[in-house]
Amino acid sequence: MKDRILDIIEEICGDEIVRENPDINLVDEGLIDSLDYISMLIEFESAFGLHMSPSDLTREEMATPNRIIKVVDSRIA
Amino acid sequence: MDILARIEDYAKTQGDKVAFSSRDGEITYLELWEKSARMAETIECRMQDNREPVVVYGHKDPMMIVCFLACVRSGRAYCPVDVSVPNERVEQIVGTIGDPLVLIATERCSLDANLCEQMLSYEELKEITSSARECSVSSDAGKVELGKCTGEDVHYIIFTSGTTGRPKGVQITTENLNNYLEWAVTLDGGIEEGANFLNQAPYSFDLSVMDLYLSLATGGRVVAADKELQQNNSKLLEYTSGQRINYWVSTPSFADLCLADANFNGEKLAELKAWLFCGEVLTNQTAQELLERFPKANLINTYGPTESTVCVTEVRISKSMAESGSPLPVGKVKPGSSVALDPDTSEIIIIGDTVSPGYYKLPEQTAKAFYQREGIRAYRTGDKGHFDENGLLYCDGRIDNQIKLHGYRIELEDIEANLMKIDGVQRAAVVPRFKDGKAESLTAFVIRDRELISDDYEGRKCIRLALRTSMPSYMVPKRIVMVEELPMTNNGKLDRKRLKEMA
Repeated sequence: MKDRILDIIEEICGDEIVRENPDINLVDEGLIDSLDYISMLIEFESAFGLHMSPSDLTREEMATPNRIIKVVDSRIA
Repeated sequence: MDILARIEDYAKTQGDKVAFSSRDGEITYLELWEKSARMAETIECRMQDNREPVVVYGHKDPMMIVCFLACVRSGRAYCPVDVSVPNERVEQIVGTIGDPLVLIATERCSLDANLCEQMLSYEELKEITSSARECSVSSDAGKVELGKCTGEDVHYIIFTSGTTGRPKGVQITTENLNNYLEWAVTLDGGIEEGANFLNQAPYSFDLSVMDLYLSLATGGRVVAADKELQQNNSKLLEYTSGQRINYWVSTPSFADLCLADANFNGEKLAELKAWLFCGEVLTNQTAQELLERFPKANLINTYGPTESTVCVTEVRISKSMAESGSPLPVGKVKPGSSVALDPDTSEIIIIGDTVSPGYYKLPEQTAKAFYQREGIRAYRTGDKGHFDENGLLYCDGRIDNQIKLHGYRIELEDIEANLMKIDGVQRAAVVPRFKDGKAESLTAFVIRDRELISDDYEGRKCIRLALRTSMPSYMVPKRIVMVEELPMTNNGKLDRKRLKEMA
């Protein structure tokens, strides 16, 4: 599961650093902009059948690959 | 200029001088003239009322040149096809012409023997051109009447590698070629007589017209580098150095490839007078590197599409131009031609005496790109351009290299130019990545200077950050991929199609 989530994050950010350093801050590093962020949520929705609205998530919760994995994982379960 | 008369003249006045050499052999001006006469006669006898273009298939054998001249001396256009052209495409070309004569000017032919009805093998061509055979053209007996190509007769047809569908055959007339040569001999302040020209381009690419005919028009010698040689840097360097090259004619990409060898410098090519570049963008990096390593050689940039006979502009690139960091001009337009810019799209339109009469048997495509402007032929290039205050033309990339990404119009060349301004970026190419047929993101392929940019996240980040200072963020490629080299087409140009597959 973690791998599929990382695949999506890597696809969106376009850099394998998200795997090498899953604690990297995607926003600070400029790896994700707001358009990417929305696309990423849509990808998670269609890949895992979730509902992920940007309004009930803080960007802080979704700042690093590890944190994203935690959020997505918890919703799948 | 009357190119055939020129060659005949050289055959008479300096017949023993070598006109063409490659690792497949060499041929003198006299041999070239006599052998092509014998073959022209055979073509005439064989084809009679069939005036269709003749396909000449081969690579860098002297027989290629004999065939070219033989065709036009028999009054027929030739259509050069290099051995690197895939067989399927050769079939398309043969099919487009209909029922052409195909001359096999190479010992290594992989074509299907049933490709067409009329084919002359390499052995047959050797036999036909051998001096043991009687030839009536050079004697006064004159059994066969030959009407060579003149004026508006089509001299050669080069099929361009169109990205979609069938290849388009660009027809160039004898007059187009003569008009081009009239000017081309003045390149670099005047081409010296009897010089040695490097030929890199395959003969199915019209850059080869520059070295071949410029050399023949000035009594020079073509030194043709074959495919195998071009794939081995050190061998190529030894060869070109041994052949005392004076004029280097290639694509800039090919020079880049050579520059990867540290020994590629002015000591090795001591007699080099000038670089004559055409066929793609000459970057500041390449220009700077060449001027540094070859301080004695002039750097000449030219521009033009196959549809207007090789090129129509010229400029000598100075050190300060190369170092300025701003894109290099393609230069001043030659006499006999002019350039107009489309007021809406800035498309470069070439008007003048080297513009082709159109595509072979394709009236619709011809009508789309060619038209008459005050009675003179004009061609829409599909390139964008502008003039600076000194009247120098700049080519700003292809109109169709403009893509739409998330609603923004983006010029791929624009991003590439900005990438190459970054310290440590030696070469770069940007291609879109498609998802469901729509451009979804950009990928940049970068050749880096190992000392300045690392092949890890830090290196990629540093490139992205640098780009953000020079361009809006939507233009910054999402993916940065470090590569050792960029793929090249058989013609020696950057292979964008392959890059797209790599993205």
